[in-house]
Amino acid sequence: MALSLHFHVLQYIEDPYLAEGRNVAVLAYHGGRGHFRALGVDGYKLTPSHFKSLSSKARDSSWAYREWAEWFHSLSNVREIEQFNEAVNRLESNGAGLVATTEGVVELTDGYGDADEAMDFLFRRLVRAPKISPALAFEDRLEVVLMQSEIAYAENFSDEMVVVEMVSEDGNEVTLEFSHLMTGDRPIGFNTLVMQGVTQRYISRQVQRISSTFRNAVRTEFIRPEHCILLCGKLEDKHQEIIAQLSGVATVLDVFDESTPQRIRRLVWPRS
Amino acid sequence: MNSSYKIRSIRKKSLPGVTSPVSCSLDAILKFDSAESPYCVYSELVALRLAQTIHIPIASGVLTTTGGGEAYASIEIGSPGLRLPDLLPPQFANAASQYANGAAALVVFDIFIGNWDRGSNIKASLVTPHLPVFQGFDHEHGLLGVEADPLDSIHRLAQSDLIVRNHPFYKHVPGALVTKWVDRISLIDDAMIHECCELKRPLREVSIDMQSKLADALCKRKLNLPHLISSNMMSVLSWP
Repeated sequence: MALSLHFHVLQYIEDPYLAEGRNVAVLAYHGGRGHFRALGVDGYKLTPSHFKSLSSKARDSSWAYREWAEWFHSLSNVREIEQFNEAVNRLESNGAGLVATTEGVVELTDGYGDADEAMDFLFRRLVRAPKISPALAFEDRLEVVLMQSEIAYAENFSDEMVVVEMVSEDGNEVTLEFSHLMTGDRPIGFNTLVMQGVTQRYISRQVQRISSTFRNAVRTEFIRPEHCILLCGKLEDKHQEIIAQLSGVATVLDVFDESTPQRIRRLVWPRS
Repeated sequence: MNSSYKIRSIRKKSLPGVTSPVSCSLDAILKFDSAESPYCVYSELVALRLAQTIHIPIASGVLTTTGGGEAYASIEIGSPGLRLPDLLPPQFANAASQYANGAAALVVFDIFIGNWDRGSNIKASLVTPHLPVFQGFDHEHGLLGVEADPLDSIHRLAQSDLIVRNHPFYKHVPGALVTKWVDRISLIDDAMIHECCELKRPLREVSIDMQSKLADALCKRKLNLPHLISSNMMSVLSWP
């Protein structure tokens, strides 16, 4: 028996005046519940780079997209079609952000498959997978590493860039920049360095900046030498010289190395 | 107060001042009076003034003027490119659990202003622990919008009538927190309620007299709140 699946396409529209959108998700109600397929969402796993790659504003909105991923999951728990339709109606009235722009119907024939297969098919046809830059792939992996090491859940861990002003022994003001910081009696400073998709000149500049921060952090006694951590990746043979240079001022860890979360844990909580 | 309002643009040129201020624009939803909701602007504005007086978590907004006259601009919540989604029914329990105090505050506030249409009009961050966001929005069906006729709305608010028959956080809020918010609202000075409701001038269709009558009704309603909650405990409160 042929059944039909009524679906809605969700677009990400950044500028309501231009109203140019990119398809990011497909929603449908079938068999007494909601269904969805969304960019970067695979079950309960979210790969933020897929949404971040849409634009620079999208890159800054990854936390909000994570909330949307949670919302999509909740939509699949909606049991009443009235609630599903109300949610879609609200998305239709959105001028910008995630907007329900188009809808359609596909037939689910005996030979074709079930709602899940139809959703997979629609998602493949309607939502183009974006190209992920090495910098975004690094950010994805870094997020996983911080969660697996469990420091992301520590109350004294700052997941955003931190700038610390210190005064050195000679009375000069010193500015320390960390990509992440664990505060407390013995602070732990982190910095990051992307090695792929950037020029050698960029890497050299970053190495200088990071080395300077870690040296000054130790010199001003803000951080102990063993608490300076550089998270980088991917490390290749051609990066040996850079790594040798940085190893003198920080513990260098490759975020793409499977053992890195465990090594971070040991550095942060040596007695556990 | 934790919040995240969407910045649309930041102008590069700094203004003079030791704090290096820059001008910027925020995204907002403009709301107007209409045939279906003829007192929307006034009700939104007064709901905001009351909420800010008592510290109820609702989205900020401002009165502004467009070609059609005065309008209410409700500031959007989210990040620069993406506003947060409105809560879905399967998320109500989780939101009430993560933001227990805020949820209790919204329940009592909605009963106080007679807002029977809370529905999904809530923005909350549920998976971003470092950025807690919990705010209600959309109050056009409270205050003068309880009934089609504003005088009927005022009359109903002054009675011992729950008005809010359904609410996303009913049965998800503990009695102790609800009592705390009931106490807080019951103790507001009448003069404060009058200040929130009375704009000293008509606002669109809302006369000065109507504003004063609304304030009188709310002064009665705040005293009725303990009774309204205790006589509807089974529908409003969660089980311990």
